Amino acid sequence: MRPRGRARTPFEVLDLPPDATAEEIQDAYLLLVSTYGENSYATYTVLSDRERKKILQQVEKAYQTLKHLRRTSDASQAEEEEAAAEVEPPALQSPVQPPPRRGRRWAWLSSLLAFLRVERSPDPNGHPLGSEVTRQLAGSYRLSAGQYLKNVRTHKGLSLDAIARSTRISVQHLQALEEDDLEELPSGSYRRMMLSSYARTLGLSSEALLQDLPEQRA
Amino acid sequence: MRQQSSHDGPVAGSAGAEGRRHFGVGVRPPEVQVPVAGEPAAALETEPERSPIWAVGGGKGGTGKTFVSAALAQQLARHGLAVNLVDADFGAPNLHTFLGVQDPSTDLSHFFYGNRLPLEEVLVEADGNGLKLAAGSNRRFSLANLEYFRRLRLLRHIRALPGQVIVDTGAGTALNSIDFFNVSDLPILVTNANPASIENLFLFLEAVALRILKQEVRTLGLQKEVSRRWEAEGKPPESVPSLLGIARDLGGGYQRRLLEALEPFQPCLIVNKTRGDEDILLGRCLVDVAKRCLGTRLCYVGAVPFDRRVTECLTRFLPFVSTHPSSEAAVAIMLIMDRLLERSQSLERQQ
Repeated sequence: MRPRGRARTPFEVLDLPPDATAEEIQDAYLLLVSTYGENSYATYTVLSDRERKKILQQVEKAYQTLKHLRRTSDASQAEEEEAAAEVEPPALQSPVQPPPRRGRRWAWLSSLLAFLRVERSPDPNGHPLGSEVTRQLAGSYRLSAGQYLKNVRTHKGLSLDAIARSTRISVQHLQALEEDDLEELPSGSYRRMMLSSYARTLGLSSEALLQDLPEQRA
Repeated sequence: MRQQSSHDGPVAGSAGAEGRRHFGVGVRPPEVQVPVAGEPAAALETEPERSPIWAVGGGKGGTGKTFVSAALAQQLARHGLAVNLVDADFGAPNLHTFLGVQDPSTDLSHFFYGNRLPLEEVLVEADGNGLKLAAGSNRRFSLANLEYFRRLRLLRHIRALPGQVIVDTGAGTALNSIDFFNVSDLPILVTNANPASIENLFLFLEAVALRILKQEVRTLGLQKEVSRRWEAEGKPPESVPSLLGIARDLGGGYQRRLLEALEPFQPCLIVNKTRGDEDILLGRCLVDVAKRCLGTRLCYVGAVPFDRRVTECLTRFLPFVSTHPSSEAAVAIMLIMDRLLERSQSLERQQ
């Protein structure tokens, strides 16, 4: 809500500072699509359907402008960033991005597909964004398994060393579990074993574990 | 350092109200506080340490305002803080039931009527850990429509309580809920991820925002001009945009003044009973809608996952957090508490 007068810049439309990165632009755009998109009820009673569509159009236009801007100005920088980036954002800037390392391929692919759905043909019945994008946008508000274990542990007044002694898992690995730092952890069933062993040490029964442990990231 | 108040004397209230939104409408506190007769002047010079008041509200009934109030209080108490819970849902009190206190020996009816005990003497222990509760009353129906002066007295006593205070307000947009929400140091909105909750959330938010704006209109001495224009426009529905529109047409920077008055109102938002990432994400969406369409900044502090054991605990008269401390919902409340404490402290520093 702002006084009438000068037109808003695309950054203002997306509620971003003018130095926002390509990733932030994409994140803001996706958030606004899920807020003002066809099947969202976040605007219920506040906006009419017409007003909602108008905002969506403004958002779309702002995003197209910024996407274009970023693509031309960051052409050289993007290469460096891509090389340095740990996780590539879903292919937005260029349709052909190198697929990520093994293990992430599926996540990458589904987010790419989810994104294409947004840009090409929004599903008239489902959530405007795919589940992978939704999960990504929920971000830090989503309780992770690591956060969960860490909180239960600190509340019980247990140190990582104590957990390490009883589980025979190294402190580094336990720390990685708590920080959800998958890079530092072995993959697959071994990681699951570590998690359940840690959880058991905290006194979480297998039943409680199933109920309590937030679904793990793939 | 806290000023211990006697019964019904002028409690730290009048002086403590300085510098923040005051209760209700009517008179605005004077810019310079004049010492009240009989009150030590020194107490006014060095403002007594006030207990921060968190108010939980949000319009729709059944979203979990009472659950969130009780769970937050339990976590704060487990964190080692002295916590007082006040059930300000006078018409439909059940905070005590959520804490497993079945028949509190004293309740707010003892504060408001009869011998009119001071609030501190009405508090009952709940859940150990130093958590105390001023329970609502099932004995007096007249509490539901509490008079303004009684609310004011309750507020004065709340301010004088030692320790952190959490006020659980009732559903709907009654002035009682709005005013407690409005005067708190940290207003907290609770919603669920469904259209009915969103509808009532925005109605509540707009009602609070309108109350703040109207207060500012009064301060600026614009009531007559505003109501004249409002009638000239055929009495459109009262809303934040319509009031701001009138202020804009008046010119003279009035719209800016109104927006400035609204600026400090930045309630926290909790999405309760979430059943997946979409519900969690909704909180972020609501922040944008509130900012874009109602000119109000919300601070999303977290989501609490749905847990059917909450109802189970209720039927067995057990407090949820201490019964299931390792549940995802209890841990989510703990993370929310961290964010609220952080926010509370940063707001205090700003003042």
